[in-house]
Parts: sequence; C-alpha cells; structure tokens
Amino acid sequence: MGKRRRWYHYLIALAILIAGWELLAIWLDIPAMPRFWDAHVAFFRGMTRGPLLKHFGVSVYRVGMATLISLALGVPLGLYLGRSGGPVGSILVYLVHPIPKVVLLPVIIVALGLGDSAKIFLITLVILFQIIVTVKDAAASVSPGLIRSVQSLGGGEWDIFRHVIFPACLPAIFTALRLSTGTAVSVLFFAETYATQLGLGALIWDAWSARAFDLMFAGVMAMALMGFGFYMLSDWLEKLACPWAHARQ
Amino acid sequence: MEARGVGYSYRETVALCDVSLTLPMGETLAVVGPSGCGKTTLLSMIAGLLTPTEGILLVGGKPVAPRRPGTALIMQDYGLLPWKTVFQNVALGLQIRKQPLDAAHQALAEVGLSHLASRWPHQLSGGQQQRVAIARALALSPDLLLMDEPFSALDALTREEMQEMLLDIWRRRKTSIILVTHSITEAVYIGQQIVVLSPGPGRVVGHFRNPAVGDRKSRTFHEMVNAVRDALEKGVADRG
Repeated sequence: MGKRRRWYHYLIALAILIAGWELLAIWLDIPAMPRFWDAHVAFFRGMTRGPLLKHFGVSVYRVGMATLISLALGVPLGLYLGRSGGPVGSILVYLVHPIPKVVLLPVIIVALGLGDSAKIFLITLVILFQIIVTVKDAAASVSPGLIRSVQSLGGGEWDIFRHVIFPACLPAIFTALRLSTGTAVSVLFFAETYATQLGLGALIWDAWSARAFDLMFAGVMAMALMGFGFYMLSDWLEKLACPWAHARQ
Repeated sequence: MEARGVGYSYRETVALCDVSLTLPMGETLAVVGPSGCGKTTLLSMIAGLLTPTEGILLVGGKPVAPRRPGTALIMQDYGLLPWKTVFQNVALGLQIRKQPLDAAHQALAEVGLSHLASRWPHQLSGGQQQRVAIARALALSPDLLLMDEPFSALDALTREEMQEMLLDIWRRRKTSIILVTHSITEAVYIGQQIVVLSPGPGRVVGHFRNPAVGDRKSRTFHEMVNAVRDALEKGVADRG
C-alpha cells in the first residue's frame, strides 16, 4: 500500500495520460490515432445516446461474472493446496497454468455456443489459475507460530482456519484479484473479437473495420474505465476486509 | 506439576534427558539454561504440544494431555494475531472455548491496557504486546501459566517492570508459573524454585529453593544469582 490517494492525485494522473496521448497523436498525425478531444466526444456521445453503454454493460457483466466464479473456485482450491493438498495437486496446477487458455476458444465455442457463457468460461479459465497459485503460496507461508498460538489456546483445525489461515491469506486474495483484472480485460477483448456483435471488443473491432477511429478509441477508453473501476472496487473491498493493514502506526 | 525422569529425543538427537522436578500448586519455577538446552522442549511437553519420549509427566495429578483447559502458554514472540484488535486477541481463547467474553475486559484491565482495547497489535510497543499476550492467558483463568523467554525482547527497564507485574499477578491469583529464561537475574527474581539445565542434551545440573523472590536488592538475591551462575558455568564446562 502506498500513500493515501486524494482527489487531486487522480486529476494529475489523468492529465499526464491525456498529455501523453495528445503528444503521440500530434507526432504521429495519422487517422488511426485521433486527438483526445475527438475520441472523448465520441465516448460521451456513445455512453449517453449511442450503443457504447450497452457494449460496456455486457463487457462488465462478463468480466464481473468470470471474476466472481474464479474467486469462488480459486480461493478454496488455493487454500486447500497450500495447507493440506498433496504434491499431485500442485504439479497439476503448474502443468495447466502455463497453457495459453485462449487457444481453447474454438473448443469452448463448440461446447458452449456464441453467447456470454463461452466468454465467461474462457476468462475464468485464465484468471482462475492466477488466483489459485497466489492464494496457495500465501496459505503455505502462514506463520507456524501463529498456528501454535491458537493451538495453545485450545483451538482445533476449524479455529486455526478461521482465525489464522483465512485472514492471513486475505491480502493475497486481493493481490490476486488486482493481478487478474488486467488479464481478464485482455482475454475479454480477445473473446469478444470472434463471432460476436456485443461487447467492447466487438465494438472496437467493428469500428476499426469501418475506419471509425474516434469510436474505436471511445471503446478503448471504456475498456480502461472498466479495468480502473475493478481496481478501485477491489481496493475499497480490501480496506473493508483488512482494516488492520491500513491502520496507522 | 510433576516430572519423573522425563526425556525427549527427536530421531537420533536427545534434546532433554532425565528431568525430574515437582512444582506444588500456586508456586513458581524458573528454568535457566544456555541456548539449545531443551528449555523450550520441556515447556512444550508441559503444555501438551509435544509428548515425552521417556519418563512420566503429570499436570494436575494426571498424565499431560493436549489442550488441557487450565494450562496457558505464552510464547516468546507473543503469538498475537495481527488481524485482531487487542481486545479480540485477549478474547480469542474465550471465543474458541465458547465462554463469555467478560473475563477479557477484566484481564485487559489487570495488565493496565483497557484504553488500548481497539488498537491493532502492530500499533503497540513490545512491552504492551507482551501485556496483551499475558492478558490473553489470564482471561482463561489458568491454574498453570507457562512462559517461554517472555521478556527477552524487551529493554532492561521494561523487562523489570514486566517482571514486577508478573509477580503482582501471581500474588493476586496464586497461579502456578513456570518461566523459561536465559537470564539468571530474571530466574532469581521470579522462581521460588530454580532449575538449571546443561547444554544439549539438557540435564538438570542445579536445583535451588530460592528465598529471594521479588527482592532484587537483598544480599540473598545476589548470593542466589552467584550460586545459579556457578551451576550454569559448571554445566557448560562439564560438557566441554
């Protein structure tokens, strides 16, 4: 955790980003790289009157669902593998984790069709393993002293899990969540560019084919906004769930 | 608490052998010895976390059992959970045993930390953390308090303050206390009995009745310190 963020920090970061964009657009001077103002007009028009909001909503739903499913499966699995899982489970995770899951898109589409479930499944498949590995390592490195301390108070297995293992892994769960957000958005884009009409990926792809670069960048901005929203949400949830980590010395 | 010829070996290594001692209810015992003499092993066995490989170990007249409700162990690193407030840490034993949490307020008051109840452990000084660990043990109203080098990480003044507080608690509650330490003066200040162990394998090389408990400045205190020091040095020399 860095220093506490204030409102003007957000403005400064945004100003740096826009300045970089403008410099690049002026320097390149090509239609494929529109000026910030034009893209920004397309963004607000799309979000209020145009179809951008609908695509945005569909994409948020897909990433959100995939994240929830991955957490629901990955956290218990990671805790299990880190505490009591045998070597076979770990080897299995290490074997499957590096496979680029996106190559399985054709198989997934045949099995699950062209709707939301195929996209959600693909994103889940990718980020699930990131969550399992991060949580597993955190669970394996819980201080044995703290476990003994709860044992000496008369605690059994469930008390150790509830009072030591789970809270000790909470910060790692949020780290895993933040790591997986970036990955989830990338995989979403890939999944939405193939045989789909809905979603920000589809919108960006279509806008590119139509050489509507303002709209294309409006889509990119919406993707950035979505990722940013997920980061802010996970920061906020972490503050609620791990108050001890944010208390002053 | 009674030990008859207690020993502990781990694979080929003998950590502790032939330890015999008796601690009547409500008395204090200090175990002194150099590092690697099996002090912590002895304490873990009395706490029921390890099973003796030799001899008989009785607590409360019965063979030692894991999770005996009357035994409380305070560890060297305090064992406080960073994600629980001071109060939640003190109440943890009661919560696990499904007992009312009132005793936690009382124990926290007894160590003088009621005003810090809602702080997190990392916001406290070392001495305060040690008090929280003691309060957590006291909340369970133990009849046997085990302490593993409890004050070794504290500065000299805080350490003496904590030793005085411990004696106060003992006088008030008449809890049996077994304190493991490498500090001779600490042992003489707190232990009605003092047991000196030799380095690995740990054996009893000195066993004293100490009349100088709680009186740092008396002549008997210094005589006792010297006697314990001689026994310690002899224990190390015999081995070499």
